[in-house]
Amino acid sequence: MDTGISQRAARLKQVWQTQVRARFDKRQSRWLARRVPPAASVRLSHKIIFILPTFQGTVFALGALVVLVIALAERNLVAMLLAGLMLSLFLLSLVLCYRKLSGLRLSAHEPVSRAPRQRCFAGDTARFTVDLQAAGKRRTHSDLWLGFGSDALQVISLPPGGQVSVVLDCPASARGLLSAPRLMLHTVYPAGLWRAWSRPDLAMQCLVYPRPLVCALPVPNHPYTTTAAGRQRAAQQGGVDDFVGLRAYQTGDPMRRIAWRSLARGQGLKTKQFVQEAEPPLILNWETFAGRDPERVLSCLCYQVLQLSRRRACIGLKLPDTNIKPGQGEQHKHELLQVLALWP
Amino acid sequence: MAVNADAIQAQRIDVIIGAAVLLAVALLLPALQTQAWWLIIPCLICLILRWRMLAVLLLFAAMTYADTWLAGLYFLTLTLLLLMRMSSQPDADPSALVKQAAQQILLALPILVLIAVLIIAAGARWQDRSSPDRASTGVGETMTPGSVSELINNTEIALRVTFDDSTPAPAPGALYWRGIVFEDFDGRSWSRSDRLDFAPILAPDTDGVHYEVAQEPSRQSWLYGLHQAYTSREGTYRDARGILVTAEPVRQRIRYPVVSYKPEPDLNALAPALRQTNLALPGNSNPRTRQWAQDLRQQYPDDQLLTEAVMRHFNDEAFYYTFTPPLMSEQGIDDFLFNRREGFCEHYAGALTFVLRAAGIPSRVVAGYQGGDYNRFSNHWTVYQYNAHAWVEAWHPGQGWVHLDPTTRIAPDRINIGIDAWLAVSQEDLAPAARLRLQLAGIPGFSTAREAFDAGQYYWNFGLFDADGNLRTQDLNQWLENNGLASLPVWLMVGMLLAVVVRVLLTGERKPQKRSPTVKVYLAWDAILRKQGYGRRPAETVTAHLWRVALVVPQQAEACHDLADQLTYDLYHDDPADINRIKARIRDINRAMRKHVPRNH
Repeated sequence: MDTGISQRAARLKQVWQTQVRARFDKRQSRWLARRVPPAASVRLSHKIIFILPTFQGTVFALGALVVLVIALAERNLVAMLLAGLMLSLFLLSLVLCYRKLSGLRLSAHEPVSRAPRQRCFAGDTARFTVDLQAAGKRRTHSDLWLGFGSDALQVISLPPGGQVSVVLDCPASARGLLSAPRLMLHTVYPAGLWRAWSRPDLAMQCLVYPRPLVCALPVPNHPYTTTAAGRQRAAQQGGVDDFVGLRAYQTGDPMRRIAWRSLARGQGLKTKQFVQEAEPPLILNWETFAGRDPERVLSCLCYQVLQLSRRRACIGLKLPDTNIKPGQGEQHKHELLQVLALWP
Repeated sequence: MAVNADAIQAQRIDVIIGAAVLLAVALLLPALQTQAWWLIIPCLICLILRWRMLAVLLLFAAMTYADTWLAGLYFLTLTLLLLMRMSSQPDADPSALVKQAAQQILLALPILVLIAVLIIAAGARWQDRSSPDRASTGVGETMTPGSVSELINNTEIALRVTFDDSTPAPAPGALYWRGIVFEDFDGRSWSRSDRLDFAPILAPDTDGVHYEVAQEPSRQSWLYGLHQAYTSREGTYRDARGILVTAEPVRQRIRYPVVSYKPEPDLNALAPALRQTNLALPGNSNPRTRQWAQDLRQQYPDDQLLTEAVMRHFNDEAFYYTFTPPLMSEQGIDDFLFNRREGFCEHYAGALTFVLRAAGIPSRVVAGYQGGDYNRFSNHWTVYQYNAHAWVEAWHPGQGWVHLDPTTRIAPDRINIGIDAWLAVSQEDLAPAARLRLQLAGIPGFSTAREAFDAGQYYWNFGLFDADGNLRTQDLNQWLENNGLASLPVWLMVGMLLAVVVRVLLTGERKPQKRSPTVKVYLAWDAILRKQGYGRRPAETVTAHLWRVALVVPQQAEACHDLADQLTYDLYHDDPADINRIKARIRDINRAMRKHVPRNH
């Protein structure tokens, strides 16, 4: 009996969420897209600030009205003034609440482009930076809540006339170009009687690389090496990388290069150094994984790119319709990953 | 060092504010005695507990009782505290909270002025709570033609009267509930004399009629009783004119015992000042009436005979009793007596008084109620607003003030049977509500049901409210008083207010966000890490934080990375991550930290 009811309730809830709620959200987002079109920088004005009394505010105002009516009926001047003061506080709250948002300028930290500088791997969190600029030299914007969607909001305070940068997290689930969802900026200042909010879209984007998937690395294929010098070196060396020693850690050194053992021994933070070896260029080929799920293939290729570039290998990439010439270095790695991320 | 100075500064501000509030409370104490402490104390408790909505509602409910400026000030303090409590930044500095709340109240003042102007422009009136108001319910402060007859459509209850079992109730025709005496006439309206002569209460030594009057709130300061009425109610005085005046207007349903004695001949002469007041007429108004009065005087030198002649005149001539009389001209009484000859009790009473005064007989108009409906269930008389009536008292030497009702000569049914009987035959244009009442009264059983309902209300009021119209808390009050705790409610209110001040000034914690157990575990661990200097920095992601931790304990770098993955998964997915795994990872990292990281980092 009980389970039957709870099952039915769960089903109803599901129907509500999938059909009614989802349809409503869709309409709302369509409306918002018309009303607040995406722009890299937005100055909040009455057109895109929405304000409504909260539940508390409604009760407060109705209560004050009832007291006012009773006071008027009883011809009680003191109660009349007190009720009037409560109503005035309610109305004043509207203005104060609106002013916390009005004039505030929000802008994306970096300009929109096909290859945004923000990058992350699928399954990781994308981080977006939003700059907020106060409306005037003497305007304070405190007690603002900023975030994506309605949950996981951060409290923000701007000093008078100041500027602040806020880092917002957003889960990146699939590779490609991730557009940040609409921002939610709201405040219930000063007494929670009104809630003013705005949903600006700063058209922020993040490039999401495929999630690395562990797979076998291709064996260096000597006959394919192109340069004579490379061939010579390849003949001489036995391993992939030669460890030559440690040096002091510098900011920017890759995490995996850190010599954890020496750190554990209490010798300070050290970076492992390897010989800068030239290697025969490796061409990572789509055809190697022929017949497998393309997404998995891209993930495997991503893993290979990461692993091989860590070994300073010279790598090229061959996808069905793209060909990247072999190269080395951090920038080349990102170029390859970008191709993998944006592959149709 | 700077932090220390700031802290001391903040503490000093706290002390100053606390002391100021204490002082204000001490000043307010006397005013609080009459306040609705049963609402204010729960409101204060709610403020402490941060039940803001309940506090708001209780504060509003208590506000309707505020009727002195000191109470208003007290409520202003409460409002300030409420605003501080409702602030959207409860973690803020106390002094900032006070400043913010005070700023809001100051900024709201111009809006308040605007609202007040609008309300006044819309026609709102109020009264000085100590003096009665003219536009209150029931019989008014002045009597103009039409002021009594307009009450004929008002079916509200005015009084409920219970006669003592020991004394027989008077006949319905003798139930004249005296309320107010009008002595000043300006040619159009009668008003009461501003001066009240409080006579020392010296009740006669004879047996009287004992009864208890339950009066509905009239917002006026006079009570009702039969002839020669005395009451033992506190704060009530008896005027020389025989009216009962209260110090406070009747704002609640009050009950008071009254004793009425048989009118005895007053052999004294009328005091000269009183005589003058009761003979005063506005200069050269209504010349025809004055002339007629002079003629009567010459015809009847005796006051009684003259009075009887005027009364007979109302009976003999073609006078009509109606509550929708035509409008009178400037010389209202001339017009009424010699042209229109249609009017309601206030016209007849006014005209009779005028004639008697013009003939040199001191006389005055008395307004109140006449009659009432007897309730068989609860043995009380219910007097409605439509029982409002006006009659005359004239001074006859050797007799004192004599009761005269011209209505008995024109429409005796109204007095002897009741106003409903007269209305039923008068066939006048009644307001729909009054007509409905009469039609319903014709249905058999309706009046019984109405009586039963009225009796129920009577017992309900009697059971729940005390004589002053307050909820029956006197048992509690009595107990408090017997134990020497009479002012306990006041001290409770004060103490609670102080507690709220302290509680509000101490910065409160924000309501915690809803967090998954995994995140809670992480946050708790983060708090421990912070003490060691490895806590999460503001605007740092969990992953970045844990990678930083991995630098500190490289032995557990893998555990850190795994923990970061798990937590990130938990943060952004609906299904929670494996909490045991997370706890195990944290244990591993802690162990490594204890082993490898020196304590004093």
